[in-house]
Amino acid sequence: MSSRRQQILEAIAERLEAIAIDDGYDTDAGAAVHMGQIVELAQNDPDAVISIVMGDENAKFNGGKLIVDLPIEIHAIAKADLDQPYITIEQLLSDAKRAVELEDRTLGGVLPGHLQRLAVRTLPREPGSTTVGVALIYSATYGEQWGTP
Amino acid sequence: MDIGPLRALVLELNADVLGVPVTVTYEDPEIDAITARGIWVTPTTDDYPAGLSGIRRREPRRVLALNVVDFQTVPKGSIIDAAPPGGSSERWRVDGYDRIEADQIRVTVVPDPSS
Repeated sequence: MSSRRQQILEAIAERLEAIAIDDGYDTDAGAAVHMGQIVELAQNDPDAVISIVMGDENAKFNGGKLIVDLPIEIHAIAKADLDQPYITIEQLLSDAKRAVELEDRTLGGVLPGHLQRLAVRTLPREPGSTTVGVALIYSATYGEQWGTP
Repeated sequence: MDIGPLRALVLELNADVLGVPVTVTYEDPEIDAITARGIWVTPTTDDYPAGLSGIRRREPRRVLALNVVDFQTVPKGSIIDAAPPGGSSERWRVDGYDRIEADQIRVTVVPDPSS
């Protein structure tokens, strides 16, 4: 039986995998969603790629139960329009938000409360590079019994 | 001892031996294109973008060394026609500056998206 963390991770990944130009998004970043690894790409790898990075979990006891705050970071990179790289950045960001932030913020009942968006960071194109990036940080809060993840 | 003339000779010889034909076309149409020789510096491979722990793209950072004697100025956005090592002529766009010295300027280039 998978842990709550794993269920959260997989629920978010499933949402991100929907990102496709054919389905009304601006990129095809959903075709390559990675989890549990640092992804290293070369020039000929897919233009837009996503990696989900689980942040450091914080937990506190409350009434005999652990209250867990789990940051979930979505890192996405794409090959930029060299003339207007900001457009690529904003499209990548918009796609990720639209995919993750569905009306159901419980991730299909995995969370007792709502998924929260904490922060957004954009990474502009650097000289000599063709790549831009974005990072979205969400937070999931849930209760966990000791020894029962 | 003034090593300036010696350095200039070395730069010229390097360009003759190691250089490739380079044509710089400026965005300002009032400035004529200049053709001389430039040297491709061995590219470094860097991670982009900096600041994401979960994902990165390793890209070669292409640098072309140009003598100031031939190219007094190479503004960002200038178009360069030059063959990469072992390849045929391609169009590049000046995207930044790797090093600027009194007698040599090393420009960072990316493939010209309009070509």
